[in-house]
Parts: sequence; structure tokens; C-alpha cells
Amino acid sequence: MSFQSLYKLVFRRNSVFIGSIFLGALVFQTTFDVGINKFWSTYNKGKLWDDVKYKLENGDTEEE
Amino acid sequence: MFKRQLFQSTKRFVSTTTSASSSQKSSLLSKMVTAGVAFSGLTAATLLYSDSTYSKAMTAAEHGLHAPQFDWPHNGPFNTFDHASIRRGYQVYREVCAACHSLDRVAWRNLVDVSHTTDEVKEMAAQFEYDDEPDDQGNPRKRPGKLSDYIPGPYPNEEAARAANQGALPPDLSLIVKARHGGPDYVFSLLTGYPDEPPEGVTLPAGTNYNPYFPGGAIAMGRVLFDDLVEYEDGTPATTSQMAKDVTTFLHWAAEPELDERKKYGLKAIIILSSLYLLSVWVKKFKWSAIKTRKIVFNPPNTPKRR
Repeated sequence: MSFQSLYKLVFRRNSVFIGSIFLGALVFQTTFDVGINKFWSTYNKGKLWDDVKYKLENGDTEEE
Repeated sequence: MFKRQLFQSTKRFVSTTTSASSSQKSSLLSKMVTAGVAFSGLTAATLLYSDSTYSKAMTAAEHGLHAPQFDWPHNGPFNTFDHASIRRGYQVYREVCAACHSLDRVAWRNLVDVSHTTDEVKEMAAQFEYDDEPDDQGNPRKRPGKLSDYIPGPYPNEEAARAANQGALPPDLSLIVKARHGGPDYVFSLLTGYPDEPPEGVTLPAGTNYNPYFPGGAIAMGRVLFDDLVEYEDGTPATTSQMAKDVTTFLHWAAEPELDERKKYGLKAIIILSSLYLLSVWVKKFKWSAIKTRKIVFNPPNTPKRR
């Protein structure tokens, strides 16, 4: 995307510019949080409540 | 007048060391001062030395043995609690610790999706009775516990707790891990650190037990965890250290339920701030590049030759 088209799309109208900032913040925060949570649950696999719950529901004892 | 006095007094003060007329007097004074300093210094040293031969100040006996650092599963910047351990730890708390210790700041709802399912917690809460609104005649009523209720303690108030424990108050365990130096390491060491016999030469006050990790060594709580005291539902062997580890993990969670969120926010903050820092470095280089790379050329004016 050249700067020309970026200018036409985003920066030309102030209302669109402000709107794109808000939308960008929303999208970034959501994806960032999802990414961090995904990393967290991968890194802590086996220690999380979801793992305990899974074992409880499947009646699985004695397994790590 | 005042100025003159001030001047004189200043002069007198200076003269104590410089004036020849009072040198004899000042040397006597300085000898006395030196003697006084030496005397008080020697006295203090003697007292300190004699004190150190029997005193227990600043020793392991006074402050408690320093707990070793254990490799907890939740140590480290990205690690959460071992939630299976929290679940077992609640069982140990309920079956052992709850006989004396309260857990005032933890509500039943806090356990949901941490160590138990909603239905399990509802069932656990319903086994306890709470005060309800009075009926039409104004008689007090009781109702089963709800998720929003806080976990009830074993005693109605502090006096009852002291009376039941020979004057010693079992501390509330909600924040005990944060409230003790050494945190979970201390709690674990304390629970597993009871020797069979107190060491020789240790005299304990009545109703106390010896524990080297407890400051002072004499703790009112006796050893409570013994092998196979509880039976874990997930089949984990209930050794003393296993139970101590589980209950310490549970208490650490109770003291610090925000641990997950805290560590996640830390990670996010580090990522965002370091990228902003790198961005600012780039912007600085970009903005300065014109200034840094400019060339200053000096063309000397043509001066006519003199000769």
C-alpha cells in the first residue's frame, strides 16, 4: 500500500482518521490479549484449571 | 554590644585550641575527654561482649531458621499455580487446618473455576449455616451457605479462638503467605519442620512445641500433618510433604489470587513498552539523520597576498 492510497483511505478525513485509531486500538487490544492468553495456556499446560476440569469430567485419575 | 559579645565568645571558643595562655588548661581538658571516651568505649565493648556470651539476639534461634528456597511450580515470570495442587490443598485445609484456622477473606465464589466447579462449590457452601433474616415473629433464622458467602471460620470470635487454644490465637490464613517472611517457603518449612524431639538445652514454655523455623522456636501449634492423614481423590500419595506443598500452594493462591492477571499484565507491559522504546530510538535516529550527516564546508575568503 503506497502512502498515496493510505492517505486517501485513512488520513484525508479527520473523522475517518479518528475512527481508524479507535478501531485499530480495539482490534490490536483484542488480538494482543488473545495472543498473550494463548501463550499463557500453552506455557502452563497441565497446571491450569481447565486441565484439572478435563480430568474431573473424564474421570481420569493418576495421569500427568 | 551584642556584636561585641558574640565576637568575644567566638574568640574564646577559638582560643581554646590556639591561644598560648590557656594551652595548659586545654591539654588537661582534652586528656579528660580522651579518658572519658576510652572509658565509655571500653565499658560498651565489655558489656557487648558479656552480652554476646549468652544473648540470643540476631541468631537463628531468635529469628527462626531461614527457610530454603523451594522450586514452586508457580515460580517464574510466566508460571501460574498448579491448580490440581490448589484443589488438593483446599482438601487439606478443610480436613486439617480448618479445625483451628479461619480463612476470612476467601469467599466460596472465589474457588469456582480455580479449584472446583460451580456445582461442587455450591454443595460445599450449602453444608455450612449462615444467619438469615428473622422470620415474621422476629426469631433468628439460619440458611444454607451460598456462593457469595465467605468461608466461615472455626470460632465465632478471637476470644473463643484463644480460649480453645490455651491463649494462643491461630492466625487467619487468608494472607498468611504474604504476611510471613519467606512466604510459601516459610509456610512449607514450618509445616514439615517439626523435629521428633526438641534439641538438647531447649526449654519450651508450657503448651508450646519446638519448630526451628518459627521465630523464637516455641510455637503453640503442634505438628499436624502426618503421612496419609487425608485421602486425595486424584490418588496422589498423601505424604507429609505432599500435603504441606498442596496446602501451601492453596494458601498462596488465597493470598495472591491475582497472580495470573499480574503476570500477564507484566508480560504485556514489557512487550508494549519495549516496542515503544525501540520505536522511539528509530524516530530519534530518523529525525537526527539530517543533522548528523550534514557537512559544513568552510570556504575561506580570498585574501590578497601581502608581499
